[in-house]
Amino acid sequence: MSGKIRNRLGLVAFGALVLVFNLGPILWGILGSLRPRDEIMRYPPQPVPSSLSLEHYRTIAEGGFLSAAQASLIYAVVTVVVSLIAGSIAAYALDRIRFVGRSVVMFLVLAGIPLASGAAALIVPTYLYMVRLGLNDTIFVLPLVYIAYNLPTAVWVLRGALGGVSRELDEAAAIDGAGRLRTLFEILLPLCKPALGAAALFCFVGAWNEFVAGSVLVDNPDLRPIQVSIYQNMGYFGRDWGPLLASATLAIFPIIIAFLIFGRLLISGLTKGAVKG
Amino acid sequence: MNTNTTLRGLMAAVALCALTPLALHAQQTTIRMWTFLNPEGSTVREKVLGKVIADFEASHPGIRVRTEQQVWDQMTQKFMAASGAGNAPDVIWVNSDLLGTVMQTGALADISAAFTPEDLADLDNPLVQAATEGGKVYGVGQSYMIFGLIARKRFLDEAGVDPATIRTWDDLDAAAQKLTKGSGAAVERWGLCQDLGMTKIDPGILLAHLLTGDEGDPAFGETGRANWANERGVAGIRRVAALIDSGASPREGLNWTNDEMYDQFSAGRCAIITGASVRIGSLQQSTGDDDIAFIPYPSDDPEGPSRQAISNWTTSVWTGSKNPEAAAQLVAFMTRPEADEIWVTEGGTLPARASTAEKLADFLNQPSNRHMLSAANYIRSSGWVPPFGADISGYRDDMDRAIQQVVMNGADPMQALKEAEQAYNTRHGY
Amino acid sequence: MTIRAYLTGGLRRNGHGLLYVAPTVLLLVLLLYGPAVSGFYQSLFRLGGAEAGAFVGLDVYRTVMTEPGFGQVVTSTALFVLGSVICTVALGFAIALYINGLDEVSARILQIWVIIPWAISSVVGALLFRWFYMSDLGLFREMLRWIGLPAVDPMSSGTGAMIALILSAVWKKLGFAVILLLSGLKAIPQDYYEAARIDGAGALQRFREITVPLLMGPLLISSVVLGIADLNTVELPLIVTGGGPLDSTTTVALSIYQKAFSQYDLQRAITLAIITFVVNIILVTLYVRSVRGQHK
Repeated sequence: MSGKIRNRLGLVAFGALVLVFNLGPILWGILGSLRPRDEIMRYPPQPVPSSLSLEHYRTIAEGGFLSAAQASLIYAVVTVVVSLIAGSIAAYALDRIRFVGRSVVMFLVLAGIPLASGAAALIVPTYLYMVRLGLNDTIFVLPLVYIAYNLPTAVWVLRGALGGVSRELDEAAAIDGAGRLRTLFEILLPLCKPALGAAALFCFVGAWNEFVAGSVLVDNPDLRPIQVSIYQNMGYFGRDWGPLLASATLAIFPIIIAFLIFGRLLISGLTKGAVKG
Repeated sequence: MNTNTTLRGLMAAVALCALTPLALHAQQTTIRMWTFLNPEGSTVREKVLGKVIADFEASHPGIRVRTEQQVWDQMTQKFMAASGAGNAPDVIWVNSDLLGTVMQTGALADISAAFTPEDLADLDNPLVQAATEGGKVYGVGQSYMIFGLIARKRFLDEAGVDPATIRTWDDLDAAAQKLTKGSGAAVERWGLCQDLGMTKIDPGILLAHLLTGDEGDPAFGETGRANWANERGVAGIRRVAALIDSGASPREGLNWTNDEMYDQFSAGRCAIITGASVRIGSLQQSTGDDDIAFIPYPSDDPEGPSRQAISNWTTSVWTGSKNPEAAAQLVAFMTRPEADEIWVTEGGTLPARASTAEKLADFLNQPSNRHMLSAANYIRSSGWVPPFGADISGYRDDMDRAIQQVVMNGADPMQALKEAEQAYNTRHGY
Repeated sequence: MTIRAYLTGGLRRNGHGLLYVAPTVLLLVLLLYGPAVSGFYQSLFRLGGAEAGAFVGLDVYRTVMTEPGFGQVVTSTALFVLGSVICTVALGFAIALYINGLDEVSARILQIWVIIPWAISSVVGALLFRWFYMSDLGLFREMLRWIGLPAVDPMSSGTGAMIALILSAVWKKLGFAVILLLSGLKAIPQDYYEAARIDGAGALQRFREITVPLLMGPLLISSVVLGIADLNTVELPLIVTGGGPLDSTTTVALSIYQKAFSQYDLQRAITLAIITFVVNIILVTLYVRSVRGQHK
């Protein structure tokens, strides 16, 4: 018995350690956002602030942070919606239809994942390319780029999930006279809700956190995304830690909300899909 | 062209759904300006820029200014790319470190017509000269700065160090030792902190040594070719290494960025740092202490300080601008005497005009502003700008690599400098 | 079935297939591959300088790959990617097993908890990691002092810096690995374990003979996905170690950044980015092969 208790205690300690390792820096940052400016950097560091205030939050609210957050929210939602629609149709074709060029398309999708992950390194060619297309500094450019960055992952997750749905359902639907798209949207996708949730989460986080394209491809202040707005606190005149931490703290909340909404689906979505390869 | 239109239409159709187009209002001449400041922002300099732009629009009813804030460390490169693609803004702030490179691409227009000869004489300094060629003026300066020593007066007073007596390198060594509190792992405060990391660093003691007394043997040749492996360089590296070895300067500094060093200064960990004069305003805020002194780099000669790099943001007009006159007017307006004055008094920047410095002598002499006066004087007496059109990009990283070789690996200073010089020259094709 | 019916069926099938993938293909080709191809094309010509526009072909590729220090960058990158992938997957696996044994509510809370570092932006995450764990202005080194441990500066040696950099990557991506592996664990049918238990297999044996083999797929996938992410991350080396001391933690991604934004050498930056992309593609291809091989 005592061995079992010791095991149990060991497990709890392990869990606690991981959690502290995980959240330490973030809680420290959030605490910093509430400190007076001249107390954020202190030696020795003070775990307990002398006073808490929302002054940095007021500062960023006056400096255009909220409009950047709003722009990013729109970008992220558009990215999620378009990626899920285009992605599930493509995933369906890749999983269910044997057409010419399927393996080429599959390669384009798979190779797109690392390409999107390393896209920041090619930002200058991307900028010149967008200028040539006339898309630079338009309201479309960031949603389009974010869709392109996140679509490969969405297709990958959704294809895995559709692969786990029995084909007998398709046949039954075909006998009932349903077309392919109707079968997909009315029968198959409702069964893939978890995978849709997982894909939505990846797309949302990807679009919300993107920085490099956001800093280069738009000039108009109204189009600026949230990460650029946060980064502007690390300016030529130095890091302005108060507003920097305050805006970074606020930027976490939509992500947490997205996790609360879709998080339940995340594990089972991936279980049915992506992790099977 | 036709395919482009089709493409554009197609792409719009794919993603447009939730977005409403922006209302366009463009009956007037609109001047686009790229800067790293947000005129709607909350810092003192941003407020000044907002004010100057509002004044400009009030006095030029036909012209609107649209400021497109950029990320400061990407802005100049982005401008060059945009200029090549025909999409640059009318007015641009060019980081003076890249001024030569930008001018060589022919992206900057002559704006001399917007200035009177008196104006130009008043604005004159080595950086404006660097932007001037054969009577053509390709830009004037904003936000001047020079690298030097930044010190908390409170700590100096506690240790009985008078900043005015730091005239020679030996004085600096002695002061740094005196200002250091505690030692080893228990050090509470270092006398002199240096940022000697690999990326995002300011030039410091080594550059001061290399530039001082280099007549006839310049540290950077006409093209920007490096010439560092000499006695001055060795003395500089030895000085840096000795400060670290004695414990007066932190070993951790070998991986600090400049921001890291400023944070340590804010935390009271450093009595003096090797920093940029332009940062003092925000350091006053982050330390909650207005009494911060700016001290020129000492030299071997008690009569005068070391030479040191200066830089600014050169404001200019893009050659491709459709409204070059209006754009040049804006550039001139931002440096006219009235604007220069509020840049100094409200924005805490150094005066761009000699007349402003004279007029505001009393203001600059106030205790909390005295650092501005010292920096402005240092720029005038010992400021160094690279030779016209020279490309010296990346030299700071190479110099710090040499320092790290010596301090961490015990390399021979001359050998380390040779390697750094060679790496730099090879990369530039010099 | 007549040949004719077969043909129309095939046509229709091809038509539908192509039509369905068209939006995705169009978006990817135009917005993801287009810029990359145009970047490759640009890298073949001299960018900027006196002879701007001159054709240089693959010359710059040779220069970049024979530069002094290139070997060191490749080694550091390999160390960093391998080290962080192995640590992240191992620790992630342990945590996934742990969470898998919890009741549903605590499991869900923990999932969200562990994934938060992954969900915040890389720049902010890296800044916070460096401040909290590595700086003497952060809480971690102060806590070590409280309990009387010497506060070592990880950056005082190349090895220490590499360990710090790897830990920062583990910290940032741990939650992501946990989620992927937990999904894999949930996919293993419970009756396998039941059957094994009836056959008298112990816990360790069940783990070795059911969990590990059935989790090979998810383990492989997480490794590849994490490896790609680590290979391409610039924020972590830039902010956590700055590449130092003495280039010991300069990865390829950071090297590209330094070329573009510190040395202002766009040509070499783009060239190196293209090389990195090719390496990425090779990794993905290997991965696809190995997944296929597994399914056989």
